[in-house]
Amino acid sequence: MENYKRKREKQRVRIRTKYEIIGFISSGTYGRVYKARPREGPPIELAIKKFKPEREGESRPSTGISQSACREIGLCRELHHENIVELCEVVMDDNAIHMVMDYAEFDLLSIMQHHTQHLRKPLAELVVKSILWQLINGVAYLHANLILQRDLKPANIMITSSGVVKVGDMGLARVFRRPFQTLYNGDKVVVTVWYRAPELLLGSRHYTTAIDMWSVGCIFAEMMALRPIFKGEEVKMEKKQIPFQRGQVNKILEVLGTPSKEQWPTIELMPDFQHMKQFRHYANSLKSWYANTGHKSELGFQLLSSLLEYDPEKRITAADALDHPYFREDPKPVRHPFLEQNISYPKRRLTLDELCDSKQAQQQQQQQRLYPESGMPGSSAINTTGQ
Amino acid sequence: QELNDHFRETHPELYAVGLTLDQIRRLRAHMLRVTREQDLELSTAAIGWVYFEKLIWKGYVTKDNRKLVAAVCLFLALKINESREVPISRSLQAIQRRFEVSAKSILDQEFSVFAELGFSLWVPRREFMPHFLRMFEVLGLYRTLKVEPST
Repeated sequence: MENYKRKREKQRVRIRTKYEIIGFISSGTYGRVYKARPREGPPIELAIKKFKPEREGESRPSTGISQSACREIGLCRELHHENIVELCEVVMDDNAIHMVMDYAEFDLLSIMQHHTQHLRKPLAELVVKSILWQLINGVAYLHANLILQRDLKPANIMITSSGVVKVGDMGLARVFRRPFQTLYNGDKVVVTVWYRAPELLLGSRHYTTAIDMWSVGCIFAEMMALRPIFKGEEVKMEKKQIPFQRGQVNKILEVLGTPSKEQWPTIELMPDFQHMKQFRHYANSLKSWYANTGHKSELGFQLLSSLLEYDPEKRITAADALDHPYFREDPKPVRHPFLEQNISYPKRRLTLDELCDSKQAQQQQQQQRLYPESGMPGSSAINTTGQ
Repeated sequence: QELNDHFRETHPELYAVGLTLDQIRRLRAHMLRVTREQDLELSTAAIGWVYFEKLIWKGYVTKDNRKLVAAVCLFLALKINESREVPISRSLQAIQRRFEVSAKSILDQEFSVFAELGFSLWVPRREFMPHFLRMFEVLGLYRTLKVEPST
């Protein structure tokens, strides 16, 4: 046993000796994400997700590696797909778990924000279509492997500088149809409210692949309009009671109309169906909503309608969506839309914290002084000729 | 005894590290006991057992660390498999009592076992089902014969 411990100590990898931490990207309840580069080997960029270390001496007794870290790592280990973030390594250092992953320069949220705030023009149809196709391709892979992403939203869709989509953040993802697992866990409702499917809003406890597809539909719409299609106000949870999201449901009804019994035969069986009576009757106005975005493809409208189908049973599956004629219509989706269209966006802004390497830190600060607006030279140039 | 002898003949590599069939079976019984006592999913014990078997075949399990490794396997299985919010610290206490190892040693060993399993905690159905069905059988035995695993 003693020998074994010594051996283990020797093999122990220190994250800082193996990787150079360039900057801090973002933080969440789970911990912090950094941009890094390996000190040896090819000069590639990586993301390191550091889970919050367990604080010693807390009143609650320690329970080791957090459950969400276990699940996310366990899942990511099994997933290998061009459109899914790849887990490269897991390192235990500084009493915290570090996931070393693919780095993607952008996420869909930041790209859309750049279009609204700086460029003031929509995403080209080829870009929208290429990102959508890759997103569905990644989701189809997850669903084929019995995995639900459960929290699809623009911020979770990573995009490399050439335009390859990497679906990320599997923190909430779950395996479904594994033996004997119920998917509804008590007080946790997943999926950010703007992307939450109607059956979840009406109290359904069964998470299905259709829920992810609704989110895909919302993201498709948002890429065309550059604003969320159903931007409802979230009702905060009180006393562990899951509230009825009145504002969100209303936003959906305004665009898609009041669902009829023919459209959604089982709607009356939904646990929160009684709340539906409080809304006035709306007609479906998705067609005019679509026309307002300036998009003209009839097939694009058909795909959007099948993604935003009220009845989860009728909603299009990822596999069928990949085969949708919209993707065979010109402009056809491409693998590296930014590269082909010669589009570039400003690089991710990095901030610094105590973990970052100091030499890099200074360089980074200098860079930001030199290019205070865009972060990098030549970044706001966007060229979408041919569209 | 006969079974133990047979085991020694068929699995000399395990015998060499000092593991006997009795000991291995006892650990499996411990896993089952904890899941029953703590009202955990039976599948959690089956998954923990799959982890443990993988580590046996990798030569990671020895006579000295068997209880600790089995305890950690069950602990990881419960984190990955339980769908309800289970009080993890309470289960950890139950595990440390049943396997006679300290909570601290379980937590110290956790990452190492996790890494040894290649961080793959999702077990394919084909690996998992035989154990799950077997555990049903074993549970049937518990009830009819009231056999307590000797410690």
